[in-house]
Amino acid sequence: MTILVRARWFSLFVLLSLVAAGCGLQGDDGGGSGADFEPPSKTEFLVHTGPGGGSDIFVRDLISIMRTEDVISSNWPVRNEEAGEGAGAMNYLMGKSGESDTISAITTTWVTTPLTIEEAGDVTLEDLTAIAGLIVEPEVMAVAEDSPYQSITDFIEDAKKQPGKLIQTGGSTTEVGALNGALLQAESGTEWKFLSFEEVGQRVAALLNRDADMMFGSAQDFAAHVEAGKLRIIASISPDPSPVFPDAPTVQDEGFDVELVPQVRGIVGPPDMSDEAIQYYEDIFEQTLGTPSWEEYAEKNGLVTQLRLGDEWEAFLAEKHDTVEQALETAEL
Amino acid sequence: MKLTVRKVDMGIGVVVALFGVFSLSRALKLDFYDEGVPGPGFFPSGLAMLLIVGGLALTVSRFVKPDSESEDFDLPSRFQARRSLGVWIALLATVALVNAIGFILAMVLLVAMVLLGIERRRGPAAIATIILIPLLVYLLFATLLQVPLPTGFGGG
Amino acid sequence: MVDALQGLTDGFAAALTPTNLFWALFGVTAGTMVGVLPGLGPPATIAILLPLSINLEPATGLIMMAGIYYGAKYGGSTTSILLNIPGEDASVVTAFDGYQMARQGRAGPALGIAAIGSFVAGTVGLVGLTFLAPAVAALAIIFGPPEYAGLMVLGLSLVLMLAGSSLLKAMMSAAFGFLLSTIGLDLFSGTTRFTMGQIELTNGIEFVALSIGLFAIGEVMMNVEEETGRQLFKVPKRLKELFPSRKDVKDSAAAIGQGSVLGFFVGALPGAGSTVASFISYTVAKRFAKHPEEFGKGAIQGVAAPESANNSATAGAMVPLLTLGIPGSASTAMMLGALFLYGLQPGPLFFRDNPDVVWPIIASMYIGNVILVLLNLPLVPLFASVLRIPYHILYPGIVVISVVGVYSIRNSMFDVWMLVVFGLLGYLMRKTDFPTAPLVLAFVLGPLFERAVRRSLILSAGSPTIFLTRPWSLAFLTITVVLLVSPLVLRNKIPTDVIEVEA
Repeated sequence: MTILVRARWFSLFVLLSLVAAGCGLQGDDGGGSGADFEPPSKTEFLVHTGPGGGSDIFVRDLISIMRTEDVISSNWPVRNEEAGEGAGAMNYLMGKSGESDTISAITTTWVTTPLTIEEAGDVTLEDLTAIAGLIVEPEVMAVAEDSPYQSITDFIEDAKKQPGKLIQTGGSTTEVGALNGALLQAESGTEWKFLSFEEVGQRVAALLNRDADMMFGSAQDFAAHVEAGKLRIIASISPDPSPVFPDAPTVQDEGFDVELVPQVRGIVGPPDMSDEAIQYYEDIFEQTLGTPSWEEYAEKNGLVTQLRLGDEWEAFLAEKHDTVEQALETAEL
Repeated sequence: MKLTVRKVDMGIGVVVALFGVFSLSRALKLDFYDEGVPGPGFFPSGLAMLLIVGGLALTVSRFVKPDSESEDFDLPSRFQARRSLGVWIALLATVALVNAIGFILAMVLLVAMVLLGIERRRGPAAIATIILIPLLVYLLFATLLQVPLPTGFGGG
Repeated sequence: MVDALQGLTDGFAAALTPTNLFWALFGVTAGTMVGVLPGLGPPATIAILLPLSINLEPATGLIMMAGIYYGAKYGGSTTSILLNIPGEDASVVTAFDGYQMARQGRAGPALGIAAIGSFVAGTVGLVGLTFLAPAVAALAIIFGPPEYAGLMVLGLSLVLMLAGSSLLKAMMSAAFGFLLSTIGLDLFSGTTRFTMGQIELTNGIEFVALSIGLFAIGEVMMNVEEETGRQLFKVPKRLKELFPSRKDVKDSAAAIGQGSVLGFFVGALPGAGSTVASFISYTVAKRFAKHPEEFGKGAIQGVAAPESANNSATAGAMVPLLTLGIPGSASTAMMLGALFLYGLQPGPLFFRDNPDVVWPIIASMYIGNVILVLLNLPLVPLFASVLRIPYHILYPGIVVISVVGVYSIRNSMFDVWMLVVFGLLGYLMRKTDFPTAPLVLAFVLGPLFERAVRRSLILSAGSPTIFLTRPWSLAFLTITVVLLVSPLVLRNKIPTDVIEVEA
C-alpha cells in the first residue's frame, strides 16, 4: 500500500516537473542572419553568478514577471556562467557571435572585470551588443542605530581625525561600494579601512555588531533593519535618490563634488546580433518595464527604472566605463 | 632492488617538497603583507613552506629507518595497473571528446571502452548496458533537471 | 514561549491544508531526488522551480522551497554511503564511514541511521527554530571575524584526529588541501592567486568535483584492480539486517544528540553552514568515541553525527533568514529572492508582521520531516539493493554519473577535468597511504579560517591580541588547547592513531 502511494506521488512529481520544465530541451537553431528573422522559441538568459547570487535572482524574478504579464509565452531557461566575475559569461557570449537566442543580464561588475581581472583577457563590454539598460539600484549609506554619525559629513570629519581607523564594510575591493568609498576618500583627502565579506548578510551583521562603522548598499539590504530601528540611513550614495529613503541627502547635497559609480542592471547580447533581433528584445524589455507587476516589484525593492535602449545604453555604458576606470586608478587597483 | 613502503615514502617526500618549492615561488609573487595586515600571499606562502618541511620530514624520517623494517610496497601488477589506469584513460579520452561529439556519444564510448576493452564482456547484456547507462543519466539530468548538457557537433 | 506555541499551533492549522500538504510533499520528494543525484544541489533546484512557485501563495511557495532544501540533506547521504559519491557538499563526510559500512555489507544500517538521525536532528533543530530563534539570531550577529577564526582553529586542529596511520602524512594532506583552496580571486585584494591564467580557476576549484574525484573515481580505480566478478560487496537478503539494530541505534544516540545541537548552532551562523557543521560534528564524535580507531573504517557514529548535523543545520539556517533577512547559504538566498518577489521583506520584524507566512513554513518543516523519514526508511532496502548490481556494470555507471553530476553543478567542462585530475590523485593517495579526509576538511575550513584571520587583523590593525580579547574566540581557542592536550594528560585515553607520531 505505502509503496503504491509512494509510486503514485513520485510519478506525479515527475509529471509536474516535466510540465514545469516546459518540455525540456532548448532549440538548437539560433542563426540570426539578417532578413528572415524568426523570434527564437526560447531565449537562454545568461547570468554571471551562481543560483542564489544577485544577478541570478534578479533575472529569475524578471522572467517570472515577464511570464505573469504574458510578455513571453514560455519560461526562458537561465544559464549560470560563474567563472571570473563575468569574464566567463563574456567569453560564452563571444562564442555565440551573430546568434539571437542568447542574451545576458549585466551589472556594473561587467564594466569593472575587464579592467581588473587579468584572466579575462582582452574581452570588453564594447565587443558585445548593447540591448537595454533596465534599472539603477541607488546605493545608500547605513550606520548602526546608536552610531554617532548623523550624516556622511560627520563620518568623514571623524575619519579625518583618525585616518585609517574607521571601517567601511562591503564585498570585494572592486565592487561598486568599495569604488565609491575610494572616490570619497580621495575627494575628502582622508582614509578609512575596507572590510570584505562574500555575503551581504555578513556585511549587515558586521554593521549590527559594530565591527564596521558604515556600509554602502542597496535599499533592499537595509530596509527591514531600518524599519526595526537597528540601522539608520544617513546618505544617498548615488545621483538618483533611493525611492525607499527619499530623505537621505545625496553626497552632492553634502558638498562633495565627486562623480560616483552607479550600480546598474541591463541586458546585452552576443556580438553582431542582427538589428531585427535587437529590436525584438528591446520591445520585450520596453513592454516589461511598463507592466504593473514590474512597477510593483521595482517599488517594493527600491529600484529605479531607467530604460535605455540600444545606442543610448551603449553610450551610457561607455561613460560608466570611464568613471569606473578613474575610480580604479584612485583606489590604486 | 625491492620496492618498499619506506623507499616510496622517501620519493613522495621529495616530490611534495619540490611541489612546495614551486608553490612558494608562485606565492612569493603575491603580497605577503598589505598595509600592515596579512595580504594575499601570507597563507599560501606559509602553506607552501609547510609542504616543504613536511616533505623533507617524511623523507628524512624514512631515511633513518632501516629498509628491512619496512613492508614491501604493494605495487600493482601489470594486470592491475592496466585495469585501473585503463579506466582512468578511458575517462580522460572521453571527457576530451564531450565538446566535439556531445555528451551521450561520449558516455556511450566510455562505457563501451570499459565493458568491451577492460572487462572483455560481450553479448546483448553488455550492449544494453552501454546504451542504457548514458541514456538513463541523460534523461535524469538533461530532461528532468534541465541541465544543458553539451550536445556536440557545434550544437552548443 | 507562549507566543511561539500559539504561532506554531496556527501554523499547523495552515500547513495542514491539502494545498500546503501537497506542496510540502512535492518539495521534500523533489529534494530527496536532487539530494540522491550527485551534482545539482538544492539552490539550483529551487531556482528551476521558482517560476512554478510564483503562482502560489507566499507561505505555500516557501513551504515547497524549504522542503527541497532539507529534503536534499536526507537524499545526500545515499550515494555517499552506497557508491562513495558525495551527492553534495554536506554529505562528503558521510562517505568516510558510510561507504566503509556498505563495504562490510552494512549499507542498510548506514542508510537507516542516516534517515533516523536526520529525522531526530531535523526535529530538534526545528524546536530550536521555534523557541530560540531570537536568541540564536543575536548570537549569529555577535559572531564576527575573530569568533569565526576561533571556531576554525578548533575545526582545523581536528585534522589531527582525522589522521590515519601517519600524523605527518595527514598534515601534509591538510596543507595541500588548504593550499588548493586559496586558488582563485582573493576577495580582499582583488588579485587572483595560482590561476595560471585560467578564467575557470578564478572562482576556485569546485568542492564537489574535488571530492567526487578523490572519493568516487579514486575508489573505482582501486576496486577494478582485481577482476570484478559479481558484486563487490555482499548485501544481506534478510530484511532485519537491512535496518539498524537496537545496538546500532544505541551506539549512535550520543552522536545524533551532539550532531543535532551543534548542527543547529553552526547552521545558524551566516557563512558557516551545513558542510562545516557536518565536519565539526564528525570530528567531535570521533574525539569522544569509545573506539575512535574505528572511525574511517565503518563506525556507525561516523554516519550518524554528520547526517544529523547537516539536517539540523537547515533549521538553523532558517533562523537568520527569517529573523534577520540574512541568508547564510545559496539555498536560503534563493528563498530570500522568492520572498522579495512576493513583495515581502524579511527582517527583525518579520515574525511580528508576517506570522501568516512564517509559522506555516516552520510547521510544514515538522510535517516534512515526518514525511521524509516515512519516505526514506522504506526506500532503504531498495537503495541498498543497488549494490546487488554486478560491479562491472555498476562502476561504469558510477563514472558516468560522476561526470554528469560534476558538470551539472555549474555547467562547466573545466570542473569535469578537475574530476579527472583528482580521480587520479585519489588513486595515488590510496596507493601511498595518504589520508584524503584531512585534504577535504582543510579545503572546506581553510578559506573560512584565512578570511576570518585576515578580517580580524584588519579590525585590530594587525594586532593578534584580538583573538584573546573577544570572549567567544578565546573560548574556542581554550577548547582547542584542552582537546589537544587532554589525550597527553589522560594517558589511558590516547587514541592509538594519534600517538604514532613520526620519529
